[in-house]
Parts: sequence; C-alpha cells; structure tokens
Amino acid sequence: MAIDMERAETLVEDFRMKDAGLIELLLDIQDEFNYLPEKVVLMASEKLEIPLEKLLGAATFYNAFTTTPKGRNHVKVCTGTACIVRGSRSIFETVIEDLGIEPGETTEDGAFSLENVHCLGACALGPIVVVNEEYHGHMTTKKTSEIIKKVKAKAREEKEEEVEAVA
Amino acid sequence: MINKLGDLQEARDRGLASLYPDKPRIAVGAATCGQANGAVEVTLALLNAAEREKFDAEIVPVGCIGFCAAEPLVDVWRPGHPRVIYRQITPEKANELVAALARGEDKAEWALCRLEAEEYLLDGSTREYDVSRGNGDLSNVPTYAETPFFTRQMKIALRNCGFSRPTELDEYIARGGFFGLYDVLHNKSPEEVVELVTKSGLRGRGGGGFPTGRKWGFCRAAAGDEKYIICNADEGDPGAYMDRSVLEGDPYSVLEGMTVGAFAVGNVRQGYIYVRREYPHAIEILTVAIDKLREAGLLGENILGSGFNFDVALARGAGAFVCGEETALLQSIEGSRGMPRPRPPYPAEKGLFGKPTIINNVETWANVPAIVARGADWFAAVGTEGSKGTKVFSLVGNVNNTGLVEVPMGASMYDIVFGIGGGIPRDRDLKAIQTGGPSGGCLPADKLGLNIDFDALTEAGSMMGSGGMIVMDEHTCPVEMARYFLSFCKDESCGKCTPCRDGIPAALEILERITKGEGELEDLETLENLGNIVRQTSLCGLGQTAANPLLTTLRYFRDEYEAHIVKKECPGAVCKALVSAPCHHVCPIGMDPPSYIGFIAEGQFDKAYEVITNASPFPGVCGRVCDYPCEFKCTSGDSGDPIAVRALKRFVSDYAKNKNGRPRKTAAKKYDEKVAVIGSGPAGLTCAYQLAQLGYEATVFEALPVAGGMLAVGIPEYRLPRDILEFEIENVKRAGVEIKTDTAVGRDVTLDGLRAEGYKAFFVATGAHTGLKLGVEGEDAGGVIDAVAFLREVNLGRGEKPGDRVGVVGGGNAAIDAARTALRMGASEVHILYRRTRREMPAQHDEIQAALDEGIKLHLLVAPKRVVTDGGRMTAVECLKMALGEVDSSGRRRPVPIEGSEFLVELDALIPAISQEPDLTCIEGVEMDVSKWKTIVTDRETLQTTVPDVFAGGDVVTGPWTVTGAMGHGKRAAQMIHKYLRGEEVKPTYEATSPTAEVPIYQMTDEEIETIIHRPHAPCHSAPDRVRNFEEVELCLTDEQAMNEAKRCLRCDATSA
Repeated sequence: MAIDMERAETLVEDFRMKDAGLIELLLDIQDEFNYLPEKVVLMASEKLEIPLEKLLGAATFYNAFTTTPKGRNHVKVCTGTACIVRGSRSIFETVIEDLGIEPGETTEDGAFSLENVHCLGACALGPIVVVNEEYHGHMTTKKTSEIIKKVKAKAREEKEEEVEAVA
Repeated sequence: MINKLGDLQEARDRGLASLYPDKPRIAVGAATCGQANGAVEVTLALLNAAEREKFDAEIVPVGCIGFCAAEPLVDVWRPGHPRVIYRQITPEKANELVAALARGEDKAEWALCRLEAEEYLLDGSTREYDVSRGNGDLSNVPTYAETPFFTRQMKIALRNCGFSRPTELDEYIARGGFFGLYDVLHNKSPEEVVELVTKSGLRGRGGGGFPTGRKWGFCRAAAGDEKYIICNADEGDPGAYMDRSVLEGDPYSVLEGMTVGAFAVGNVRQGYIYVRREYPHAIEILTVAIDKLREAGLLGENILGSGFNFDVALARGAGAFVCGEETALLQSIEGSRGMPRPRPPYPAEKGLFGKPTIINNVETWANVPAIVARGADWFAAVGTEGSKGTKVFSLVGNVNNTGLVEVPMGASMYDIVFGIGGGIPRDRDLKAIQTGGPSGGCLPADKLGLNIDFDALTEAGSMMGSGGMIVMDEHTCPVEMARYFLSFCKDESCGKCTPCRDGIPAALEILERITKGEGELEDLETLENLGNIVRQTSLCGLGQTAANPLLTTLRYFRDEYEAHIVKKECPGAVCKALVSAPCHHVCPIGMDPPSYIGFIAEGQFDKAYEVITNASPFPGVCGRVCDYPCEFKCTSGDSGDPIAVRALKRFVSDYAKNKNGRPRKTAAKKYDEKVAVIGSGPAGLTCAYQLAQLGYEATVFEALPVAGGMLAVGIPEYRLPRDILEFEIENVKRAGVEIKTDTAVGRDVTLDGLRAEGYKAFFVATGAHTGLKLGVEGEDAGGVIDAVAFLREVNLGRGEKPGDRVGVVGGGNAAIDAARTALRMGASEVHILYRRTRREMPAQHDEIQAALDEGIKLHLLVAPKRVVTDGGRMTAVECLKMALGEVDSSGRRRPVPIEGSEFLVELDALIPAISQEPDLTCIEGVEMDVSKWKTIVTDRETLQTTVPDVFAGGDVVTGPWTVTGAMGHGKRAAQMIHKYLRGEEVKPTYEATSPTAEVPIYQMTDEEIETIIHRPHAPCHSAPDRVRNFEEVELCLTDEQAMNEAKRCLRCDATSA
C-alpha cells in the first residue's frame, strides 16, 4: 500500500506544535499507518532534527510499535494471569492453529495478524479475545474458532469484491 | 464557567436534575468490561425499544459498578420507585424490560438489588428516594446493602463508578465533587493540605505503599520553581484493572485529586496522566473530561477564582510494563526508552525533566478528594493500624463473583473470596490466591484467614501491589504459575541491569526444565539462591520483585515442585509434557480414558475394553464405584460438562460382560518364587493379578467366606451387583491367582508358617474394617451398631433391620451407604447427622443426592453429644448444633459447638460412620512399625514395611481411602515385590504420562457440534421403585448415548504439547 506522505508530514507538523514526548508522535504514526514505515520515520527524524537512533531506540523498545504492517484484521488474545487461570492458553493455541501464524506475525495475504497481550483490564470476563478492537468476553476454544471463522469468511468476501472491482 | 461557590452550587443543582430527572433514567454499565459483555448492544436495544414503546426515558452510559460477572448491568431509576439494578441483561431482555417499564411494571426476576437510599460519600449525606409509588414486585429483591457482593464493601475510590455519567461534570459536582477543592484553594494553606493528607494515613495504592503525605512534603520542600504532578495510569499488572475502572467511570475524581496535589506541592503548573494505550476507552473519556474542565475553568488559569493555575495533559504509554516503575515512566514521558535509573535521587527531588515531581497512581489520586472533603480523622478511622482507608481489589480468576471490590483495609481473604466472591466455581478446591501481580506471590489456602493490609501481605511473602487478587483453584500448577510470571518479567525486563536481565532467564530455564519433568532436586536450591540474588541486587522494582512468585511458590508449594522432579507428576494436571491428558494423569491406576473413549466414539467397543483391561481387571467395579478423579480434572468441565468417564467405562464393561468377553492378557509362569497376598480387597486382588501377569504364583488369603474385601462386604449391592464383582474376580483367578477364603492369617496360618511353606514375599492388604467409636456417653447401648459391621452383616446375608427410626452419624460414603441400606432393610425413617455443611461432606455428591431422593433426611451442622437410653436400649440421641468458626489450616471454617443448643432426636437405632481403622491381627507378633492410627508404616514410594519381605498397601496403610487408591497401591506393590525378588534396588521408576494406544480423533460433524452439548444422564430406577430392594440403581448408557458422549471428548492426549 502506498504511504500517504502528505498525511505523515501533517502528523509531524502537529507534533511540533504540541508540547508532547516523542512516544506520542510514534503512536500517531503507528495508528495512522498500522506500522512505522521506514520512509516516515526518516522524514520525521529529518524534519524534527531528532537523531534517527533516538527514534528507532524508542520504536524498538515499546510493544506498541511494529516495523512491518499488521494484518487488515488484528486478533489479540489476552494471556494475562486472570485469563490464563481461566484457560486462555488453549484458546491461544487454537487461534495459532486456526490462523496458521505465530504471535507477532501477519498472514501472507495480509488478512490477519496475531498478538498476545498481557492484560486488557477486563479480567473479570476472562478469557478475553479482541478482534479488530471488539472485545469478546468469557471465551472458549469453540467460541473463538467460530469468531475466527466468521472474520475469515468476511475477509474472503472483501477479497472477492476487490478482485471483482479490479476486473 | 465555574468561578464562585455559587457557580458550584448551580452546577450541583443541574447535576441533581440530571441524576434524578422527572422521568425514568436507565443507565447501562458501559466501561470496557461492560462492552466486552455486550453493553453497547444492550444500549442500542434499550433505545430502540423505548422508541417503539413510546417510552420517554433517558438512556445513558455510565461506568462500572464493580460486579463485572453480572454484566451487562442496567440501573433503572424511576421517580417514586426504588432504584433497581438489573443483572445480565441481553438485548432480548432489554426489549422486555422496556416493555415492562412502559406498562409501569418491574422485572423482579432479573434484579440484582434495589436501592431506596443512596449515600453521598463526599458530604456524608444519605439521599432517600421517594418510593411513594411503591415497591411493586420488588419486595423480595434484596437491597444493595443486603446483596452479598456489596454488603462487606465500602466505596471511597469507587464512590461514583456506575452511579454518575463519567464525563458529566455537573453530575460529579452533584455528588459532592470540587467543593473540597474550593475549600482547599480558598481556605487552606498548602502546608495544611500536606498535613491533612499525612494525618489521614493514606499510602500509595500503586504497589509500594509509601505514605502519600510524606511524599508530597518532600516534593514541597525540594528546591525549584517548576515542579510536576503525575498520575501513573500505566496499570500493567495482569489481573488488576481498578485504575481503568476509575478512569472510565469517574475521571474527575482523579483530576480533582491531582489539582489538590498541585496546590499542596506548590510551583506546579503542569500535570500529566501517563495512561497505557491498551485502555483506549479510558483515554477517550479522559480527553473529554480534561476538555470539559478547561471549559469550566476548573483546569487552566485562575481555577475557581483563586488565582491558582494548573493544567493536565495525557501522555500515552506504548506497551512496556516497566514504565509503571516511576523513573522509567519519566523517561517515557520525556520521549525515550523507558529504562529505570537508580534512586536516590527520588522523583520528589529530581523527576520529570530533572524537576521535583510527584507520582501517585490513579486510585491514590481518587482518594484525595474524599480526604479533603471528609477530613483526615474520618479517613484514618477506616482500616488497620498501619494501613488506613480502603483498598480496591480486582477479584478475578476461579471465583464466582468476579469484579472490583473495595473493602476496608484489614478485611480477611476468606470474606473477600467466599463472602463477596461467592466461592469457587464448580465447587472446586482453592489452591492459591495470587496478589500483587508479577511482583507479588501465591498464598496457599491456609492463609485464607489473613487480614489483608500492606504489612500483612508483605509478611506472608506476597505484596499488595496494585490490588490484583487472582483466585486459583485446584487445577492450577504453582510451578507453571512461577514459570508464567518469570516469562512475563523476562519479556518486560528493560535489560539495563545484569541481575534482572540475566538472572530471570536463568531461573526461567530451570523452571521450564522442571515443568517438563527434567528437573533435579538440587535445582530448588539454585532457584532459591538465584531468586534472592535477583531480589537483592536488581536496579528497580521490576527486578527486585520479579522473583516473588517463584520464592512464594517454593515456600508454600515445595511438595508440588518435588512431585514434578521426582515423580514426573503435576498435581494440578497442567504441565503438558508430564500430563498428556489430565484424566489419565490423575488416575491412581493409570487408566487411559482418552484412548478408550476415542475407540467408543468410533464404535470400537472391543478395542476400548482392551485398553481398559490393560490397566485393570476391574472395569465393571471401577465403572460403578470409582470416585472418578478423572472427571474432576476433565478439560471439558472447564467450560461445560465434564465427560462422563465413569459411566463410559461401565458401558464398555457391561458390553464385554454381556458377550462374555474376558481380558485377553494372560502371562505364563516365569519365576519360582511364590508370593502371599493377605486380604482380597481391591488392593490385594490387583496386586495378585499384576504379580501373575509378571509371571509369579500368587495366593490370596481371605479371612471372610467371600473374596472382594470392602467391594463385597462394604459396598452395598445396589451400587455394585455381586455378579459383576464375581465375574471380575473370576478373571483374576483365570490369570493364575489362587484365592483361599475363610483363611485368616494370624488365626489359621501365620506369616512365619507361610515363609516355611516357601512364600518369599508378602503383601498385606487387609483394609480398615473396624469402625471408630463416637466417644459419647451411652454408645454401648442396644440399637447402636457401627456402619462397617452393619454393612458387612447385610452383605453376607445375615443382616437385619437396625430399627425403625435410624440415625447415621458421618458424611462419607460409608455413612451414605449405611443410610440407604438401612432404608432398604425396612427402616421407616433415616436421618444423617453431619457436623459441617454439605459442601464439606466427603461422600460423592451424586450419592448424597440419591440418598436425598430416597427420602433420607440430612441434618447439617449437628453433632451427637449423648445417646439417651432406657433399660439398656437407646431411645434418642442428644445433639448439639454447630456453627462455622475460624478458618482452619485446610482453608475451611472449623465447626464449633453452640453452647446450650442441645436438642433431642428420637431414634431407636444409631449407626456411627465417622471413620474406620485397621484390624492388625494378621501381623500380631511380627515386629513391624505401626502408626498411632493403627496403620502399617511403609516407605511411601515403595510400600515396603520395616520387615523387608513384607509390603503393605490400601486402607491398612492409608486408613479409609478410595477403591482406585487401593488398586493403585496393589499395582505398585506388585512392581516393587518383583524388584525385591529379582534382587534389584526396590525403588519405583516414574515416567511422564503418555497415551497407551494410538487412537484416531473423531471429528464431529457441524450438526453434532450443535446438538451434542451436555453429558448424558445415566438412567436410574426411580426412588420409590428402588428403596425397598437391592437392585442396581443406576443403569447402563445406551450405545448411542455412549458414542455421543465419547464424541464430546476434547482428546487432550492428542493436542500439541
């Protein structure tokens, strides 16, 4: 996907006007592009006159940042203590099997990425699975598989529509 | 703009009008937890229904009231009626609810509680609702204060959560907000505020528990004309989420608290809230709240017309646990990698951008407005000597009522877990309570009586931390928990200091080995040393506390570590590499359910029978009277019904018996040594059978006229028909075992005599057949008969009706057997007297239910004090009522007699069934160690007694235990006797559990997934049909039932390790 550099420059300019730490800028870029594109980081370093090593140092320290794009559908499985105690381990295994990717990876077609998170703060409803920012509580392996199946079907439909549109 | 006191008062009036409009107000708990449970869908449904029903109501989202397990919660206020909180409202229920409200009715059956008054914490007032239009159907709904989840709670930090709209400033003010700040800014000096907070005794709620007032004092005293205030909202402890709830439910309380702090410290113009990005909803709410405060003039220049200036900005975290550590947090706000630095200097002297800085967490800040409004003495009156006020805990994990609970410091863990929390789901046992997140520790059940505050938890080896309280049931492995936390800390270590960066992975590697059964006992010492080094030498709190989960589990659960290392056993049945399938792992006789269940699913019953009989010659016995530890550990039981393992085994055994199938496995005699087995119960017969399989000639000596021990003379026929038992004993004989009945060792023959006859080894398994006395006056009277003797006589065909009105004392299986047998022998009434509650009864729960179905009366919390006699015969029993007292070392509340509560139960027969002890005639004159409970002392692993050629097992060693436990002993003894006779070292070899057969996994069709959901109920004779005869009560599953049930099995044995 092409990077909208104009948009990226606006983010950097907005940041320059604000009295905020660098992390805020990186979060804005990550949220906008779903990862930290090399081009954008280089541009920010130049415009703000911040050494690249400082930007990359922060970018590689925090879990929020990725240097490769996340999938169009992002699945998070909570492996915080309360969820683990209620069986999120086997849910996690199921998702790995269903998606065919390990945490931190994106499927080849870019449709899915998987993340294991330590606690989303909805512990009372554990195990928690989040699909595209939608929270699902009290999950079981069966319910999780059903949700993944649905999202997969939707992803397929979208793909087909895309192909049709191109044709 | 709110400048003057009058403006505040006006805002309050507006807020009250909005909280209590002149029409119904329906509030939905829509914090993140509510949303995960469908609160958004419920809100939409309410809005649609209101429009459809033309029901004029305000429908608003609020924060979380704390009872997350009951979400989505819907709070309905109607003028003139009690306020009602409804639980677990779905969109469908929302429709019905609105329809009912529109008709002027309630839905009492869905109500969690009702409120007729509401306390406003900040001004100490109570607002009584106008309930003039009546209660309707609600009179049976408990009030808020009567609801177990709320009754022990006291809400200071959570005072507004779920009651007011989080971003409606007027509603916050209506509930007393900002009046305290007004007072502070206009009437108090900064020093007075510091003094007030110091005097209140408030300690930091984020983990360390440092006195807040002192911290403020340091910062105030520090030189500098620019200082900062920070709210630490980087709530990273897995399992703790009170800060999220406060931010999402009551952001103004935090912002007001910070403003008070800024004024007290002085020279502060800017504050930051450092909030983790994993809380998007909290960030949204805070952003709105800050904007509204700026608009209202409550942040920014000249706050409340006092000339005081202060503003707050958000700084988002980016997913690094270590940033909860204050010096790392500062780095992160400044825009760098969040790496801690040594302290001192403390942030109070040198913090953000090198300036003096106060960092307190969300819950601490939320307490400040309450202290300001109500005073230091009010706050200090709550809590314990060293810990004042309340603490919010997130009560989560294996507990029924999960949620946020706020209790006064010093509340007992028992009250929190069993009172507020409602106990453990599926009545499982508690194994540990984890507090303090990755920095805390796991406390065992015997610490339930602990009154928790900062100091008590630290003393017990754990810590308060931010207040996570994770309840773990018996299906948890402490070793795996330690591994989990260390793995978390390894990922989150910033890598700056060596002990944390390298020490944690080193410990983790050892733990991983142990969970795979590859550990050594020396590892435990290494782990302790490593843990202590990491604790003492790490740079920051993350490293200093990272070893706590490891060290506490080593302290309290060392036996489980040793089980992993020595016996390749995981008592919680969690560690995959050792366990294979939990049901298989926990079976005392090594039965492999997934394999035979896999065959049943395919309809291959003969193969299933082969798998079963490879492990034991008693499938019909186990399929009926086993206490099925497998089902308690079944993975399917975690989220639904456990697989009916026992019934499936019985199904296979009935199938085989009907076609006269016999175990195929027989072995030829290989060795010359003869072995004598004394006692023909489950232990003895299993041992003899296994010896025969190994190639020995084994002879069983049985004192009674029938073989089978307790299986024949203890367990009643209606549970274990004699033909089943005889069929399986016949199989044991066919394997080459000789059984000599009516031959009592110690009476008819002696050990020495048998040695002279050429027996080279002995297995003593004579059971525990002597009933214990109650130890009360009058129990030698006519009409009192001990349960074991009674059951034996009935089973041998010599029994008679014990009496007309029969009492049975005890709560175990023997008590239930005796009671149901007494009924079948013609008693007109049977009463069971037990001193604890039903939950504590050791008898199998389905047996207790069957007894109740048959009309047997259960009297709980009752103990006999005296047998009343007349002319040598009993006429009644005098009983005492009991109450549950303090929590004892087993984590259960001890029953204590209530003085003066004596009452008479008229009975003409009494059957004590409290416990049994062995009869040791068979070893009379033999020099052998015997315990004070008259059990034979053996090596726990080898079952060898102090006489080298004599081994012992079953109840004679353990006291009354289970059938499979005894069989397991028999199996092990055979192996040990074999080693002994072959001149090898007598020592068991342990192996990790692994499948005993290769069995395909049945793939359910989509239709089957939809329809096969629950376990089948084995058909039973109805109670009236069965109470006057000894016919077997439970019948066999049908082929279809069995196959369907087998298809439900998750086949843990085959899923990836």
